[in-house]
Amino acid sequence: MKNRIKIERAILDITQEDLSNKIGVSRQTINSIEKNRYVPSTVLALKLSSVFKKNVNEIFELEEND
Amino acid sequence: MNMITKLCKAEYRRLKKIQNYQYLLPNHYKKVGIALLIASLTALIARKYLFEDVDIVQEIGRKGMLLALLLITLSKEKIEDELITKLRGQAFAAAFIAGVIYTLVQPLINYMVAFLIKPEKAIYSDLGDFIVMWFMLVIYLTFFYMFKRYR
Repeated sequence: MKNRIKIERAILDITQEDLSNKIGVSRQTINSIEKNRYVPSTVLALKLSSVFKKNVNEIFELEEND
Repeated sequence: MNMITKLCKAEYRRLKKIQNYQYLLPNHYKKVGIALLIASLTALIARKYLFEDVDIVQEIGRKGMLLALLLITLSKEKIEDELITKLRGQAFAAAFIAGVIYTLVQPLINYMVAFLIKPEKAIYSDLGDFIVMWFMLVIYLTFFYMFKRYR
């Protein structure tokens, strides 16, 4: 699964730390999601969507092997 | 509603209660665990060099060490998020599987090594409860902190 979190973060001009504080996870968790090492739960995806004010589909995208 | 349905629902509620039980302790218990671990290790080392005949020191030291490792295992991280919960589950699974394999294989290895060195004195004996529990807790902590480091 691909994601646009890094890009969305850049648009809002916030760091991983800022984003992690907003949604109540650790900075390392945001880093893992950005690097595609961890697929977040629906709850976390919806929290990210609410921070970025975009639909979950616009932030996360399925790949062929998913 | 008949009796069986009522029983099934009660059973389901109990099962959910166990499944959703919050077994983790606050983060400061990690420090308590580490302090207890150091105290237990000190007691065990002191017993080895100072009072070798006092078995109760060994018993207390061993039990203290298991309790200390359990406290460290069950204490929350500073930020206990869903990734940490996932890593915790993976580390528990790894420790459980490693513990069973260790319990099955290690006595055989011990016996084979003893047989190769002194065949007449080689005796097959199972591992003790302390060593198995200690092994599982240590494996859990090792895997958990490794997973956490490379998350």
